[in-house]
Amino acid sequence: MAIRLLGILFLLLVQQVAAQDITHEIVWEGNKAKALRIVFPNDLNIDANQIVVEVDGTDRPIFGHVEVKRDTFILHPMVGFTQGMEYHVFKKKKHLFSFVPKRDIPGPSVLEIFPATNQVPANFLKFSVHFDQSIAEGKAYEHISLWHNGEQVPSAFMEMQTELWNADQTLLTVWFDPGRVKRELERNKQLGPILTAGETYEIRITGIANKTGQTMEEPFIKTLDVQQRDEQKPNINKWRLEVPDSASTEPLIVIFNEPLDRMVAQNMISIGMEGKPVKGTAKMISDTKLTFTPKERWKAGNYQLIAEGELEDLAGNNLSRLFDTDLQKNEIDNEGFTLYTLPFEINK
Amino acid sequence: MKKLLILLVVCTAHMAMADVNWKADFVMGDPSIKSINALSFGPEGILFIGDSKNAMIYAIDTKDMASSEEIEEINVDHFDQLVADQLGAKVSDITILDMAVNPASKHLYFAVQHSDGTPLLLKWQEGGLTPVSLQNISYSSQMLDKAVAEDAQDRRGRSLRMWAISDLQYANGKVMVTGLSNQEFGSTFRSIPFPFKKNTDMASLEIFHAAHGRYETDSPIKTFTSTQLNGQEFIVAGYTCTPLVVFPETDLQSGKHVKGRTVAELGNWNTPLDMITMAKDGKNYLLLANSNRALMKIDLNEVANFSGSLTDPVEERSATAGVSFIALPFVNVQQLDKLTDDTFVMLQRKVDGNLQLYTSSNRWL
Repeated sequence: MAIRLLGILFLLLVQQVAAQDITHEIVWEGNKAKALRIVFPNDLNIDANQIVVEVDGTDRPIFGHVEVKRDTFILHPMVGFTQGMEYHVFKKKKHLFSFVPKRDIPGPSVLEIFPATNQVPANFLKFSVHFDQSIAEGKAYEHISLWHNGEQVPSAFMEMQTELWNADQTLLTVWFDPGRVKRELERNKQLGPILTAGETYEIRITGIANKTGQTMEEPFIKTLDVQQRDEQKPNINKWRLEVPDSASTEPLIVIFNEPLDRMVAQNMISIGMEGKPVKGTAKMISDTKLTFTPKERWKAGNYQLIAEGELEDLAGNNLSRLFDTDLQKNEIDNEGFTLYTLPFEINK
Repeated sequence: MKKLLILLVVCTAHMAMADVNWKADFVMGDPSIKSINALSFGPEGILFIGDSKNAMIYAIDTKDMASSEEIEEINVDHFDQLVADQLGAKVSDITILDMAVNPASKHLYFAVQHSDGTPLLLKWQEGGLTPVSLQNISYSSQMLDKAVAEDAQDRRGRSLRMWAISDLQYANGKVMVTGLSNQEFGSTFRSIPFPFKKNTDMASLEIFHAAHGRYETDSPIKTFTSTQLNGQEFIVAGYTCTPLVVFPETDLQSGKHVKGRTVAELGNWNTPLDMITMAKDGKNYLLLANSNRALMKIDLNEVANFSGSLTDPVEERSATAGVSFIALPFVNVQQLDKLTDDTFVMLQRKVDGNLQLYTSSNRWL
C-alpha cells in the first residue's frame, strides 16, 4: 500500500516537474500570430494527438497543421491566432497553460477617397477608399454609410458579398446602388435616386478594423456637394495635352475637362506611335490630370493618345455610351467599344 | 417520334460526356488559391472554385466520389459559431461566402473567409466539419481575364483590375461565371468549356437590362442557374437590381450584347442571393433566396410560358410584376443548395441571430 502511495506521489512529482519545464512561445510573422511552439524537454516522443489547443469553453480542437520535431510541438492554425482571445492548451485532457496573443498595433485610418473632388453629379456611381494599412475583409459595408441632414440614407450602396479590395487590401471600391441610379428601374421609381442636386451629403467611414482586429480611432468624413446629373459622354476632343520636349523622359500631361474615374483612366489610356505602343506608365495624379512617363526618351514625331471606349466619368458614362441610354432618343451604340484617339506631335 | 428524337439526342450527348476524361489535364501541386468566392460541383467529385483575387477558376479533384443516395438529415444551430470555434477565431471574423453539395457523396462544402483574407474550404460530413487541404492537390485552372497581362499594373506587377466573382455554375461541360470589377461598370458573364484548354475561346458577353423599354444599361448578375425551358437550355439570372431575367444559352457567344427577358420584378430593398432548380411530381421549380424577402418558389413552366417581357414599355406595374411566386416561410436564407431533386439544404439567419444549417422536407415544393 505504502509502495503504491509512494509510486503515485512519484508520478505526480514527475508530471509537475514536466509541466514546469514546458516552455511555449507564440511565433509572430509581422503583426500576425502565426503559430504556437511548445517544448516538452522530458518528452522526446510527443504524440501530437494528445495535445489539443482550443478556445475557452468550446471543447473543440482548432484546425491547423501540426509539426513535431523531437521534443517540440508546433501548431500552425489555419487562420492566425486572434489577438486578445484566450486559448487553452491540454495534453491528455490535462490543462497545461493558457495564452493570449497581443501586440500594440495602431488602428487603421483613411488616407483619401477617390475622386478627391467634393463636387459630384447626382448620378455619381462609385468611389474608392484608400487606407494606410491592410483592412479586414467581409464586413466593410457595416462601416461605410451615407448621411443626409443628420440621417443615414438607407440602401445607398451595392453591398457585394465579395468586396472589391486590391491585392494588399488597402483600397476598396464601393458602388452606389445602380438600381437606384438607373432611371425607370423599379428601385429608382419606388425609392427615388440616392443623391439630389443642390443637396450636401456625407460619406462616413467609422470603426473599420485592420487585419489583426484593431479598429479606426477617428471617423473619416467626406462631404459630397451634389451637382446636376451628368448626361454627357466624356469627349476626348475636349482634353488638353502638355507635350514634353523630344529627347527627354518628362511625362506627357493629359488634362481632362471633367473628373474621370482614376482606376479606369489609368488602365485605359495609352500612347501609340506609328501604330506601335509606346512603353511607359500612365498615372492619375488628380481627378482631372494624368501623366504618361515613357520608359525611353521621347523621339520627335507624330503620336496618338489612345483611350479605350470603356473609359468612364464619375457617373459611369463612357466614351462610347451613357450609363443609362435613352432608347427613345435613339442614342444606343451597340457596336461594342472602339478606341478613341487624339493626335499630338513632339517637335525636334 | 419527336420525343424519341429528343431522347436519342440526350442519350448521344450523355454518351459523348461519358467518354470525356475530365481529369486528363489535372496536375498535382499547390494552386496558391488566394480567395474562394464561389463553389460549384462538376462530374466525378470535381469542385470548381472561383478565386476573385487571382482572377482564376480552379477545378480541384476532391476525390469525394463515394456515391450516396442517403441523405443525412442536418440541423445545426449557430453554424457560424461552430466554424469560428474550429478555427480559433471570433465569429465576427468569419464570412461564409458559398455552400455547395457534392451531388455524388451529398457532402456539403463551404467557402469560408477569415477577415484577414485567408480562404478556407470546409466539408460537412457525418455530423462534423473537416478542413479540405488546398495544397498538394490534383487540379487544373483557367485564367478569367485573358487581358490581365496587358492590363496596367502597379509597381509590383499586379493588375490594377480587381474582380468580384458573384456566382459560378457548372453545367453540360461548361463553367459559367459572373462578376464585376472595380473598373468600368458592367457585367461580365463568361462561359468556359471544361476540361480547360489553353487559348480557349471564352464567351464573354455584356448583359443588358432595359427598364421599361427606355433606359438601357449594363446589369451585373448576382446569381444565376441554368435550366431547360421548353426543351431548350436557358440561363435564369437575378440582377443585383432585382429583376429576374432569362436568356437562351445559345445567346452566349463571345462579344455579344445580350438582353435578358425580364420575367419578374422581385420587389425593392431586395437583392436575389442564391437560386436552385428543384423537381417534384414532374414539375420543375426555381427556388430563390433573397436579401430582404422570403424564399420564393417559382414554377418554371410559368417562366417558360411567360411570353411577354417586362422590358417592353408598359403601364405602371406593381413592384413585383411578372410571373407569380409563392413565398415560403423562410426569411433571411443566405445559402441554398440542392441535396436531391426534392430536398434542399439552407443556411438561414433566424430572428434571434442564430445561423442555422438544415435540410428542408420536400413538402415545400
